[in-house]
Amino acid sequence: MPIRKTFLFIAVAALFSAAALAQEKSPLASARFGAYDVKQEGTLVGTVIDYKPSSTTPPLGARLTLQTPAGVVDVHLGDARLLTANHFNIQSGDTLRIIGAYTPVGSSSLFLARIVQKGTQALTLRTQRGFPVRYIAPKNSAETKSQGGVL
Amino acid sequence: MKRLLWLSTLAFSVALAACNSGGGSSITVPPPTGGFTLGSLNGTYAFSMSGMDPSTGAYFVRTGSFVADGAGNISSGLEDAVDLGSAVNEVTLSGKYTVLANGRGTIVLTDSSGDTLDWTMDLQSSSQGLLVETDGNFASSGSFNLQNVNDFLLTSIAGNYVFDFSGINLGPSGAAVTNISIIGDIAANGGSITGGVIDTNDFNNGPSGATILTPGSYQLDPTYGTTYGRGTATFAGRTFAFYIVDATHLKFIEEDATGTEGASGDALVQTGAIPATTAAFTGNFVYLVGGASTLGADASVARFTVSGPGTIGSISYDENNAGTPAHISQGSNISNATCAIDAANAGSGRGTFTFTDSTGGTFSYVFYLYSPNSGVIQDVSTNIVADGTLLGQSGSPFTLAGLAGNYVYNWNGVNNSSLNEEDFIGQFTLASGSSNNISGVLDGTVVGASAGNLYPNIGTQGTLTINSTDSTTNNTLTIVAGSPLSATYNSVAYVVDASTVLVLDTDKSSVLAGVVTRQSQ
Repeated sequence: MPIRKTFLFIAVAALFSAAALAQEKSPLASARFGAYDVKQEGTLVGTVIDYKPSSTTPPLGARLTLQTPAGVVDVHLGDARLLTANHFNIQSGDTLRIIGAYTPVGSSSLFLARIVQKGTQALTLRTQRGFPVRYIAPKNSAETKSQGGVL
Repeated sequence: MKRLLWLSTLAFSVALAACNSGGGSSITVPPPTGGFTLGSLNGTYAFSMSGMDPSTGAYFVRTGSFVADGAGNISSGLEDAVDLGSAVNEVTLSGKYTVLANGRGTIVLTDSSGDTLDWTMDLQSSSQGLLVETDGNFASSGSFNLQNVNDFLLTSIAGNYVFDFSGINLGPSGAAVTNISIIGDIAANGGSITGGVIDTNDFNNGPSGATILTPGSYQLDPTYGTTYGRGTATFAGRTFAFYIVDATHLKFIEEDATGTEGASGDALVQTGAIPATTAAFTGNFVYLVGGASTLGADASVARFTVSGPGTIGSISYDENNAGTPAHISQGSNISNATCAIDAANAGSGRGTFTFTDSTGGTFSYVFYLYSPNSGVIQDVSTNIVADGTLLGQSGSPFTLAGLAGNYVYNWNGVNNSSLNEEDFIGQFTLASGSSNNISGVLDGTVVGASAGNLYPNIGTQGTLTINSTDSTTNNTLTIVAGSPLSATYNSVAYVVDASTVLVLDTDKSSVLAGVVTRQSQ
C-alpha cells in the first residue's frame, strides 16, 4: 500500500539537528507514493557507508547509504549505467553532496537523488520532476541489425 | 488497443540473474489443438510492434503491412522502423509462415536489405493476433489486424479519431531523455485534419492539459498507399506514417526527421453517442496504464463505477511501482472521487477523473472516449507518466464457467533487476468452470537474461482465480513458466467482460502488464 508519510519517518526526523532539518525537508503531506517536489528539495552531505549498483529491495536501482551529521539516509540514485557511462565511481568512504528530495516508500522514506556531486564532478540523475534520467548507450557507427536497410 | 510502453526507465550494468524465481523446471507444452490452419492467415494484415534495442536501450518500433496467401507464404510486405536516434527505415518484406492448430505460429521475413526478421505469433482469430520478435535483434512485441483493402482510400479516413501514442523523446543536447505520452482526438475530413484536442505528458514538462490542435494534413503513399494502406500525416507538430486497418482503425508510427522523438500507437474512430456532458457518462469501467514513475517502471490496473453524475465509486486499484505492489479498495479511505466530461471540448470525448486515498495520495487521469464507454487514458498524477486503455465493464457476474475457454495474451514491461525490456505472448486454456487450473505455452524475450534473451515455446501452468464477480476485489492470474525461463508470474486480474481480462504482475522482480483475450476461430 502506498504510504504518504509514516510515523517512522517523523520519529527519525525528530532526531535530526536543527541545521539538518533546514536542509532535509519532509515529504509532502498529500504526496502520492514516490512523489517528488522540487520545491521540497534539500542537500545532503555525507560519507558513503554502502553502495549497491543494483539493490535487491524495491524500488530497485542504484542505491547508497549515506552517513550525514543528522543520521543515516537511504538514497536512491536511479540508473547505475548512467553513473558508469559518466565515469562516476562511488565507493564506501566517498564524501558526496546530493541534491534531492524525500519521498514516501512503503513504511519508510527514501531520498531521491537528482544531482550527485563527488569532488568537482557532478551528475544529474533525475529531471526536476523527479523522473530518473534514462540512459541510452551510443549507437555503433556500423549498424548491422536487421531493422532493414533503405529501399 | 495498444501495447504498453515501458522500456528501461532505469538501467543497470549488471546482467539479469533470474526472472521471477520459483518457476516450473519442467512443464510440457500441451499438444496443439484447435482449428487453426495455414488458411487462417489469409489476406493483408497491418502490424505494429514496439520495444527496445537491446544493445543500446533505445526505443524501437516497427509498423507495417504484410500479405499472407493462406498457404504459408508472405508474398509481400512493407514496414517502417524506427530505432530512435537512427534514421527511419522503410523496407519491403517477403517470407514464410507456419500455423499450428492452436493458432501459434512463426513468421520469417526477409527484408529488402537482405536481413531476416523472426517473429512468433498467436492468432486470436483469423483477423487478428499477437506478435513477439524472436530473432534477438530487438526486444519487441505487438499485434496485427486484418486490413480491409477496400478502405485504402484517402476518403475512407473521415470522422473523429481518438488516439494514444507513447514513446521516447531524447530532448535537446544536455536535456533528459523522457518518456512521452500523447492522447487525443483529431477530426479528419477525407484529406485534412481540421482540428482536435490533445493531452501530452512527459518527464520534463508534466501534463499539458487540453491543447487545441491547429489544422494538419495527411495523404496516401503514392507508391504503397493502395497496396498496403500506407500514408503519412502531420499534426501536433509531428510527422507520422500510418497504415489503414480499415476506415475505423489506423496504426501510427512517428517519424521525426531529427531522430529526437519516437512514438507509436493506434487511432480509432469515434462511434456511438459520445458523452458530451458529465451526466451522460455512466457505467462500470476497467483501465490499465503503463509507463514510469519517479522510482522506475510503473503500471496500474483498476476498476470503478460512475454511480451518478460526476461521482465515482466501487474503486479497486492495483499498482506495481518499480517492484512495490499496492492495492486500494474503496472504503472510508477514498475521498474526492469525481469525474467530469470536458464541457469546453464537448464532442471530443475528453474527460477527467480523480480520487484520493487516505494513505496512497491523489490519483488523476484524463481520457478520451472512442465509444460511449471505452477510450484511451493518461495518468496525470504528479509522479507518473503513463497511458493505456479504458474499457467499459460488462457481463458481470463473472465466473470460472463463464470464462472457460482458450485465451491469448501479450505482456510486456521491465525487469526490475536488469531494468531491461521483457516481452511475452502466449496462450492458455481454462478447460471448464470446475477447476481454475490453466495450461498453455508462451514465447518471449527477456533482455539481459543469463540464459539468453530468447525463450521460445515455454510450457506454462497456473491458475485463474475469481474471488470477485465484478473485480471489486482481487481476482488473480498465476502463470508458472517452465525451463529455461523458470519463472512464476503472479498477477491481479481485472475482468472486463467474458472475453477480456486486464492483468498486472505484482511481483517485485518485474513490472509487467497486458491484456488477455479470448481466442475464436
